[in-house]
Amino acid sequence: MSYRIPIGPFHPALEEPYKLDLTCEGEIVRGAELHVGFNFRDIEYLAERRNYQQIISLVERVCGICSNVHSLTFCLSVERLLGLKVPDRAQYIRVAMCELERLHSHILWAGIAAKLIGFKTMFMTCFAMREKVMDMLEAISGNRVNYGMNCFGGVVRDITDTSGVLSVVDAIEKELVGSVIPVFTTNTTVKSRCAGIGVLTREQAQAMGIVGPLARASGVEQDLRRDASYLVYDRLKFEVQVQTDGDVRARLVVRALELIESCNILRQVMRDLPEGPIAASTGAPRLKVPAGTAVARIEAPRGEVFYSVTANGTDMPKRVKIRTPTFANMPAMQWAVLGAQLSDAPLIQASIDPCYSCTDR
Amino acid sequence: MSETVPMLAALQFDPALLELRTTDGWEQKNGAWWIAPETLDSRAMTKFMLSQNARLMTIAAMECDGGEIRLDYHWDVKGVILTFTTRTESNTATSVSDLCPGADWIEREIHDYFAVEFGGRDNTKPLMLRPGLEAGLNRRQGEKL
Repeated sequence: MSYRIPIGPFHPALEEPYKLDLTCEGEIVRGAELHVGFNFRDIEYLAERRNYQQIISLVERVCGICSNVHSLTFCLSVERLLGLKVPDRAQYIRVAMCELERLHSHILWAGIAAKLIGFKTMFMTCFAMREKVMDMLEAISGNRVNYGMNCFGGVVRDITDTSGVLSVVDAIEKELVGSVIPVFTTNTTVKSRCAGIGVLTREQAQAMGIVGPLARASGVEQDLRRDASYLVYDRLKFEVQVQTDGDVRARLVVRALELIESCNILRQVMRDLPEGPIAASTGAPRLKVPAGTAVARIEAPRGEVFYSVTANGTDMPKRVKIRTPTFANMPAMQWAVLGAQLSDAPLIQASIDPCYSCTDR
Repeated sequence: MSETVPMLAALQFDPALLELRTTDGWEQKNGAWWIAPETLDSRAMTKFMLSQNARLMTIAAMECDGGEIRLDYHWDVKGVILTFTTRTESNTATSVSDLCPGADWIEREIHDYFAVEFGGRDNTKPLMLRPGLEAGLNRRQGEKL
């Protein structure tokens, strides 16, 4: 006999609202239906009623973790329409912000995963590391959540203390190599809790069009930093982390190794940070953007963020379309939980690293 | 198409397979390769793009003068964005969600915002809208575009 278990929209596993209807036979999940929209703010509609400068602040509110990515992708789209060339120093600073944000996001996720696995000490370790990253983001931008760093043509604040950034990177990497990565990759309890569960095959990943670490954990070898390079990523050396098992453990490993890559990228950025201005001049304070449609995308911590901006020659866009990574990834949850133990469902959904604020916009 | 051919060849594309009756051909600008066929068979496009291991990134919808909806199908092919632009007819379009599961949420969201009816779907459950809200939430309802 099958029975239905409604979970959510508010529950302790994740601090964001969504609803999952699971159909079970005994302890085995046989079906899942996902309901979203509880955070729906219609930011796309609001963006059509703001001028371009106001939208930078608005789209930072799409997500509390990767807020920088949203304002940056919007700026990249508009810069394409304006034909603006962004100074090199600004591009390096934008990369630094992106990688610090990735560290923040992946470490936060590692902490939540540790908690769900039952490793509360590791949860505390991760959140202590996250504080260091957030302190650095605050030191650079003046803010801890919505950084307000991006403007059309560059950034609004410079990085003056490169040695400060490097010392944080060293401290984070030491902790990662010394405790976090060994626990997530070799610990017997973690292995038994994560290996072989929540599997998404490469074929399923491609059919659903999933992106980011979730896709790379299923053998889909795409990272926009390398494959559709933007900013100055083509000048930096890093490895794209790919696993083929497609299970929760593979997602853990991909994100853990990506943390090390972000540390490597940040070292290169601080070493190579060129002299020069941090923004190009855009002229008039109230920007009018030539008519046309431009697109831009970025490898955010959770995967591809995509913006399409249509301008009509005025100071407000005609249309701003935002496709967030969780919007692409979350439907795959309905496949990942099939055949799983009911008790594994919270960890499987967490392994996707969902963001409902992003999804619902 | 002359400028486009090297790009398509590099991506192992055969544009003839799409049987597109194009007006302006492919154009590279603003971050993507764009094409706006006079008519677009979205199912033929989807089958072909999937056969090339392309990924449907999203469908961007936008209200046009007269109330029809412009649909931009954005595909990723080996790091390149190819965009097929078309328009609804009487606010209807053909669903591709049975061919491409990733299109399911995309079509449901477009229905929520612009009340586009995607033919061929079993149902179009609201994705973002709460019960009682009418589809077409983001339509401009008489505002000047």
